[in-house]
Amino acid sequence: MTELLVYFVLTPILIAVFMYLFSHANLGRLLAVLFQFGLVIASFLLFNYVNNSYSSVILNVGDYRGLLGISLGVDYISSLFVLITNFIFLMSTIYSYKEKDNKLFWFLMFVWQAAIVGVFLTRDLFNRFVLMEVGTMIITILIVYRRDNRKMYHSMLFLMINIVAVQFYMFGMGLIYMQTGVLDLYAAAARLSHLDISYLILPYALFMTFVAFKAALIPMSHWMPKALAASGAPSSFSAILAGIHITSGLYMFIRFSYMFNMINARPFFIVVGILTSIFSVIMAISAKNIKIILSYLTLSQIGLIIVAFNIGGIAYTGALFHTANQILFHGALFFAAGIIAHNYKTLNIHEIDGVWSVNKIAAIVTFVGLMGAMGIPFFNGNISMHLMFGYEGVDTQIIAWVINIGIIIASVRYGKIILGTPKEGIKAEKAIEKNIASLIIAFFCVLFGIGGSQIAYYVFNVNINIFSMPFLTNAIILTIVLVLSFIFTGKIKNDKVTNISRDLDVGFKGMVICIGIFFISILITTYLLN
Amino acid sequence: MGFEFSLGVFPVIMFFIGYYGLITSKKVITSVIFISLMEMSGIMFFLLLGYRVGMIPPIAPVGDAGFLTYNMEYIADPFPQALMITAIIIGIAVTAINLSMLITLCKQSKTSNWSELKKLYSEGDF
Amino acid sequence: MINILLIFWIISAIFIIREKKIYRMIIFLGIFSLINSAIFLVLGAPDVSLSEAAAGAFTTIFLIICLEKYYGFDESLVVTKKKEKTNFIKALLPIIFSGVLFLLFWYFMPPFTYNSYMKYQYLTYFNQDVGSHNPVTTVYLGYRVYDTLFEALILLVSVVAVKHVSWYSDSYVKDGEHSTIESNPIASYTIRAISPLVLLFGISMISVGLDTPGGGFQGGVVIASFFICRYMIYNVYDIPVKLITLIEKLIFVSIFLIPIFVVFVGLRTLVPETNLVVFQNIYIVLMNSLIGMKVTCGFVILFYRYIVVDRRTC
Repeated sequence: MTELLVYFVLTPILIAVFMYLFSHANLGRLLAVLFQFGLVIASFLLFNYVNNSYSSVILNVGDYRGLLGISLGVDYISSLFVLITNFIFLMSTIYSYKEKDNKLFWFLMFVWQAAIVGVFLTRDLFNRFVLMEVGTMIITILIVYRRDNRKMYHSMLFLMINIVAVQFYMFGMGLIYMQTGVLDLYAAAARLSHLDISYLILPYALFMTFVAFKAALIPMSHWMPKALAASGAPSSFSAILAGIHITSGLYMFIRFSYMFNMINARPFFIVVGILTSIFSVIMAISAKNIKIILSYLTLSQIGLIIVAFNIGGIAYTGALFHTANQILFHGALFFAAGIIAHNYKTLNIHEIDGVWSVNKIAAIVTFVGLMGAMGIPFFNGNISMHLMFGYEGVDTQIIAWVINIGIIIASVRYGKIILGTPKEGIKAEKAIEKNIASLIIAFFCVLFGIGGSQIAYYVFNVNINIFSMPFLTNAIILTIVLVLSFIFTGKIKNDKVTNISRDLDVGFKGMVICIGIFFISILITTYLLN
Repeated sequence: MGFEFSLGVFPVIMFFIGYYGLITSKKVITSVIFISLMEMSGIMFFLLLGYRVGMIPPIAPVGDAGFLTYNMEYIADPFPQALMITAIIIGIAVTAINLSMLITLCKQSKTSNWSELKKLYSEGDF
Repeated sequence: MINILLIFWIISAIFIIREKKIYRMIIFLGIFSLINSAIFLVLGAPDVSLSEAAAGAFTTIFLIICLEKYYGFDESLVVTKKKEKTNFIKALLPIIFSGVLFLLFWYFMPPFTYNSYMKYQYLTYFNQDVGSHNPVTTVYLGYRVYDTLFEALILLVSVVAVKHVSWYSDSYVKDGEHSTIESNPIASYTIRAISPLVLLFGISMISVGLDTPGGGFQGGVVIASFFICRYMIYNVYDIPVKLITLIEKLIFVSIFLIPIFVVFVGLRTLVPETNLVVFQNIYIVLMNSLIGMKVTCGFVILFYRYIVVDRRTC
């Protein structure tokens, strides 16, 4: 049973090449959906096994002795992420079932799936590097999937800045290998605890610079809306990029924090997380393209998650649960945005009105996703938000409330597209597969919301009493704020506000300088804190 | 900590020469050249570990049992070498994609300055 | 000795920065790659040195082709045009910023002592476990073959990417005019004499990867350069690209399936003791040849997309 772990990564690649060579008829697509369904079932079995036996599954690929080979490992965190990744890819396969000219697209999606699942499963540092390069190249091709000059510029920018960031990771790997002599993450962690802490500051700074770049934290969060603004590839690409690609950055943050657990840099990351959330909320209020608004909403959630990871204790568990939730509700939002863009043929928020009368399913899915993002009771963001910030001190709660109010204002602004009357000539084009995929994700969002406490108990062993006083108080305050902002928020067409995002464009040189600034700040802060 | 001079300083100098070149390059193609410099510095760092004067490559002569009795400190380390072959291949693949995107983009827009490209393509998104 | 070579290395990088014309920068990049290759040899890494020589040659070729494709019709574009008076503060700020970063990095760098745990493990067990005489080959084809699969995947994805990103379809192919090399007798006859030797060298490098420095990748690049030489001599590009793409994908599938059956499923444990060495040698030579063929196909397709397809718009 343990030997089958490596086939989670290898079989998607083989199927990808097979589909590239033989994917003319509908039979190939049907086989692809069946295969994805099989993968979801297999990852669900793995998830059950890991959670029931409370142990990790470790496989030494090729059965070589000691540390000479590469090992793959699963514990309760990675199995949850692998399950959700495979599920979202199954939904994307259904969503893009009727894509024309799709030979290359399916090949790229399957290989991307293999790369992301490989990052979640591997325990070796260099293997992670190779898999991330594969992922970067695939995203580069998917951004320019339809021919357009603007997307070519953004794609080139994305590729180059990722290569610059990964050189920091390579140098960090070299320093770790120099000091410990191994490249396996857990073996290196065991040896690093015996070393003098002043030798570990530099590798920590190098690794965390790369991880913060991948998770799009504050000086380096500029690549994400640019990559997502592409409307060329099908919308499932945006869902996967915003949900799962960023989650691989967060996952690496968890693993590297474990590897360097003797270094304490928590205040630094709390500040960075808060700044990221505030910055993205401001940009979400002032942006015009619906996909860019959604990407900034994602970034604000990421900021909150990073803050909660660094507080520790129950907030850590809440952050893990919230990561899983945000993949689901952002997937729902992006799928619905894809349906809306398909019907309205524009991405400008001022021209989109009255989604409820055009396409009811897109409206429902958007509503469910936004409720999850805001953390309303009975939708999935609620339990995890409560775990993250409900048990902490007053000052943390005040900051969390401020950011939450900002998220509510931005989400209500986005949600106003549901109401109103559409322009003439907009008719709903029936796309059954997109509707089905979006509805299934929305159903799972509601399921995670209503059954949230049971899931938290089963996976993370946390008991939540949903009838306790703080929980009910938070729920009531949230509902009041929601109703108030609904009444008082319009679509914010003021030009002075919307021009904020236009003037903040840095080019390639600016992004390289931002990486340098982050590196200096984390180096000095870690030195001062230790 | 402190400013001691060892062999490891040279790759770091190269890394920041590449970084300085990236900050001050006006054309796209010079950025690609400096990214190559940064990659090579990382690879050189891995291979400089454990250097002693008089090192021999880790190849065992065929039919010789005496290889393993050679002093192991003077045999080069095979592990980073295999990894760095992979890293060099990744470097070529990425440079190839980069250059082909550059050709198509700069031919369509007739310029190859970073600032002019930014003016052309960065508006109207928001 | 190594210190002097490293100082030359840094000096060649400084030449690249201080240069203003792009043609010269690319030539200096070629010299930089040559110095890299020499340093790798002194450090005791002949496999990496061969790979870097091949990779540096290809990067220089791709850069020159890119430069000619874009700039080739306008010479004045490769020279910096206006002598504008640069602001002194503005020119100093990047140097200060990079200098500060460098000094911080140097200050925090741990001592350069080396923990050689994995080295002893590999050097002790490599012959027993995989059965070749070159430990580097055992690492990337035996112990860490999982990584090598993704490296082959990267080459495949990059060929697909270049094909997708350059926006010309295959129907634009036509044979070019007579190149300048063909009309120059010395160059043409020299290349004609050397190119069979190049092919032989490439094939030998692939097959001796078992016991001496060499291997699939290096040999593959050399064989690809044989095809480029052939293009330069005859200037006829009759290579069937669709067939090569198909062959590349089939070779890629076999590169995946063979380690799955041999290493992961564990066929190698079923082989009896007396045949074990022969079996392992066959496995390594087979994998090396497959990787070499795949790299050849990939680079030939890349070269094709770069050079030939654009001929009509030049």
